Amino acid sequence: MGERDVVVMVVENPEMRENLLRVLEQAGFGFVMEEVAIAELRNTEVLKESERKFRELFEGASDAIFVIEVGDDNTPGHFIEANGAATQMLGYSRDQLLSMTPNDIGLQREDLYLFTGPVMGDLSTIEVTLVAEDGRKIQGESSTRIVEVSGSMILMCIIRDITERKRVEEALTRENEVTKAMNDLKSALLASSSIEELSSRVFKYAKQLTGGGIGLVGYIELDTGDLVATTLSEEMWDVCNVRDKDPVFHKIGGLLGWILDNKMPILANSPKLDPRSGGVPEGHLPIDRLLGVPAVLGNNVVGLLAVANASREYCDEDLATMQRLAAFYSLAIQHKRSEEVLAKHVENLARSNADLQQFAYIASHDLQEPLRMVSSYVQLLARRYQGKLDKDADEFIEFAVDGAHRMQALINGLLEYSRVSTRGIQFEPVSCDAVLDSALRNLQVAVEESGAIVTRDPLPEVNGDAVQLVQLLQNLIVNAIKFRSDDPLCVHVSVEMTGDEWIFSVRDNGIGIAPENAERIFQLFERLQTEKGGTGLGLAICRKIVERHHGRIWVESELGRGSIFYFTIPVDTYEH
Amino acid sequence: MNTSEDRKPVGLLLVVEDTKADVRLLKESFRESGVMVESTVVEDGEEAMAYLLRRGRFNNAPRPDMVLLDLNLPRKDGREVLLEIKSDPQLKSIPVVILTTSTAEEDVVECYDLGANCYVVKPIDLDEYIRATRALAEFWFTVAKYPET
Repeated sequence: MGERDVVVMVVENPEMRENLLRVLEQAGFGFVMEEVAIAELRNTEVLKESERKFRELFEGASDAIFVIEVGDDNTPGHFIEANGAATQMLGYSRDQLLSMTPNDIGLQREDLYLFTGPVMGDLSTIEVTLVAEDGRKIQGESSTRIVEVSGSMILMCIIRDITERKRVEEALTRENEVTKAMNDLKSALLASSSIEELSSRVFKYAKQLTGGGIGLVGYIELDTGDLVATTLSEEMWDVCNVRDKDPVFHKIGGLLGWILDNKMPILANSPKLDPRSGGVPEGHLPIDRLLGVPAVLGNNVVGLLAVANASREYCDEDLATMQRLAAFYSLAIQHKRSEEVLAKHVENLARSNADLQQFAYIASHDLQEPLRMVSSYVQLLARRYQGKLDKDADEFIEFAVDGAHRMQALINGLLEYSRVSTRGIQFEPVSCDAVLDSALRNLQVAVEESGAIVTRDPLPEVNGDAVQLVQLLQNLIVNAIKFRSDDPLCVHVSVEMTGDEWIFSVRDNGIGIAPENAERIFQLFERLQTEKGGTGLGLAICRKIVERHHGRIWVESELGRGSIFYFTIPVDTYEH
Repeated sequence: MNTSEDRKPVGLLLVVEDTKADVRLLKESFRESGVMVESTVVEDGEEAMAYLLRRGRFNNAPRPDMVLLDLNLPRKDGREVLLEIKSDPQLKSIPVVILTTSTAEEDVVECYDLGANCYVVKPIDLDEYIRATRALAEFWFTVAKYPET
């Protein structure tokens, strides 16, 4: 009982009065007792005064107070008295109440504590649910005492309205649970759980937070538009007797279909009466209550969350909870979809890359044979008949031989290019000094013929494919020779270390490259000057070799000012 | 340019090659190289073995001084021919030179394992091709010494 509760009792029997006082004292109650002699009590004035005081306190109490008669068989009888707070709480008038019994306002025998064993005067409270005149349910905290008055027993029942407190408490508890659930789901999403795991977890919380029951959580598959409800295969599978049951729905009707079509939730505590319902398929568990929410991304429904047959009616809070879960689930689906799209792109890219390489290899390899024939016989023609036919014939033969040579160079280049990734050897420590030695040895004739002066700094050891590194430096030096200016050619090979990579450079004083072409020259078949010959593959091969070594290649140049080709190789390169 | 019609052939060559253009190229390149060889051409592995074992229409065929063997042949593959020659006591002393377009390491290794005397990748450039055929003829027909048959 709260501090404001005041009960006035008029107890005539001294023994009983003593008892009552002792009990109240034990319970820690302060009380004021007015000893009033029975004789005096009978005095009308005193009685009237007492009555007035009692009325005042009784009516002024903020808690509902009921006085209930006790029948012969100890069952609660009619209300004898009810205060203003009681009539206000329930919406009945005093007169109405006095013609009613506790049962009429939802109070059960147990609520009144009649037989559940309280000692007389026990002050513990219990929670009860009352039904108001308009059917509204009221949560109350009730304490009831049995009191003897003038030789007969009455029940004094004091009920405090705790509906609001309950509501706040429940809302808080729910909010806590939902927050916990959302946090757990977020962790699961961040741990990149599969969509099946996430569906399963969302479903678990949907049930847990809406009063149990059954249901499903599923996502719409992007390609097919099917609803994939893998949660069905978990606990529902064995109890469901629908023929040809399948957790993948091509088409879904009834209320769930309506949700998907209209992108709106359905909260139905009597779904069978809902005109949108088409009933359930044969063998399906009967649905007594349903709460379904779509998972929506932008304008599209991407999934569905539904619970059914909870132990209680679904309420707006359940709907709000489901909508929060649905919002999360939408994100999870989006996440899954982007992962799928990404994986598909990566796969496609890898495949087309592999195809391309295979194609380049086969094309260049298989073209060799017919080309060998063409070029050999054209060369044979030249060898035998150059100068023996007329001038035109000589020229034709010359063009044919030249064409065959160029085609040979192209095919060889292409083959070389495709072999960078397909025929590379495993990385091992390689001395770049030795690599440059080899490259210069291979280029001895070309270097001598061009009169180039090649200078060099000491080069480091790197992890790489020696054959390819030789080719890389060789191609860069050939490039310098090919695009030399009229000045004597100087080529300088150098290296610098920055952070975790070596930056190699091959500097020349040749004709240079316009900055706008600096990117293009590393592309396949890209040639800036057709008259200089070449296949447009040399630098593309360089780039491919550098990339295989996890490095970058670029050029710094200006027309007429020479070029510096740079490429990097990580200080520690291990082939993946 | 050397014309060698007036000279005696330095040896008899069995060419196992199914591509006509290749056969002709080989002959022309011997001609260009100035080395006079006599050659017989068979187009597949079965025929090659029939020739060497003097079966059927080859019952009077002379023993070649060298076999030039392509690897990819119809009916009987070059590798099988090689194996059969090198497993035959009568034939195994005949030098077998593999002349192919395959640069594949596994082919090279396999052929030597099977007893090939030499593995030559057909040069793409005609001048190199001529150099190769001349070198082959000079080495196997004039430098190398064989048991008297």
